[in-house]
Amino acid sequence: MSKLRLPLFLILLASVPFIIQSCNKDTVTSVAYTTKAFQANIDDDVWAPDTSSFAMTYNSTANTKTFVLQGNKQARQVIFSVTVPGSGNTPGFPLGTYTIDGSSVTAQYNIQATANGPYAAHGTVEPGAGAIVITAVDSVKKQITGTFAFYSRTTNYDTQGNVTSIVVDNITGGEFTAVPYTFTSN
Amino acid sequence: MCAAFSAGAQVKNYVSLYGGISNPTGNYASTDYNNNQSGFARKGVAFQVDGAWYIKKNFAIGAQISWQDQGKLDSSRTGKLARGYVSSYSADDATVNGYGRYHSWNALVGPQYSFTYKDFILDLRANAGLIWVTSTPETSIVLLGVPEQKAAFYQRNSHGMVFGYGGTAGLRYKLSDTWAFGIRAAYVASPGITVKNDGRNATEEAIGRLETKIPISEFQTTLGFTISF
Repeated sequence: MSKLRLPLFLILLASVPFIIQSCNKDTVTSVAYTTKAFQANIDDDVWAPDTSSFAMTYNSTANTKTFVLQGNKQARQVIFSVTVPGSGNTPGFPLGTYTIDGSSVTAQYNIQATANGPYAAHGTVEPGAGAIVITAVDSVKKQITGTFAFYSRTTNYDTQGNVTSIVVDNITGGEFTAVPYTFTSN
Repeated sequence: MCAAFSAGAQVKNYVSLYGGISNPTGNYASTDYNNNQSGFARKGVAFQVDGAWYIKKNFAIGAQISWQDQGKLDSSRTGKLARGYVSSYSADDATVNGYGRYHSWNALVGPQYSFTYKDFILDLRANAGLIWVTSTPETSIVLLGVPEQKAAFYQRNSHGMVFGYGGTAGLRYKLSDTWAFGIRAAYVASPGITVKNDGRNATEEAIGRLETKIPISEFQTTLGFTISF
């Protein structure tokens, strides 16, 4: 028995790694999203513009103030415009929820069909198709914060004028956080 | 304590089985996305077969074969990688899949000197030899919002045999003429293996993390039994 002790001991040693070799190898997945101050989801894909502008303009003739946000990235463009009456020639903007009405509150979802070509509307954003919420304005630092969401509907027709398909682009979860804006009056 | 140990007594040849913890150190353990040598390795188990052949009194040639697991990428690690890729590529989002584990074998030999004190034996050894890496975690990365890198790219499961070196210190307590109980600490280091990457757009090579070599360093603490002959 004593002669077997060493070989048995070595066999026991050698078997251990092969038992452990079968340990957990499941795939682990992590998703990280951009933390950019201006972003949205377009048709469920995160979209963070690499070019953006936020502008507030006071029109002294009409006594209105218009806030326009615009972002471009990868041939996709989002534009939101809100005009409010009688808010004075100051760099502030009234907080609130502005529902798209097709006139004073409008949104556009545009596509660039060819590289360096013009952007064209991809569908129609109808009244009631979304809203922008201005949640904070720092008129001293000229920084504005808010959220937005809307959809743009494209209806396709055949040659006889019959509807063949309807495509809806959903722009959801839009947010801009303490982004700087410009203020001009004319 | 060392002063109490003596080099006078003859020590027998032995073979040991040890098991315990292997802790990655240095770059191997680093989880810094911006360090291209970060290994993201984790604490794992180690098993060692160790022995020494005494060629003159307390002086021996020692050898060890060990197998160690340094874990897989957990969600904390894949999350760090994903956030890093979003930042460095200015991506809208990044999905990182991690699969597989760090597995390796060490085969090291070196001179050993043993000191004895009553039923205790203190073994000190310098080691050099081969590290055979049989598996490393593989990652696949998919970026959104990066026109130059639309396709998934990969850091592949890599393997290879490289030079390694280190040292061990072990303390054995004799339970009988044949058996002893022991505790060991071992440090192993290596310049590491080459890592294969593919799927990257060549113009994007300079952007983001690109690991081409994983240096290995680990500190192992193990317990086990020894049989002398």
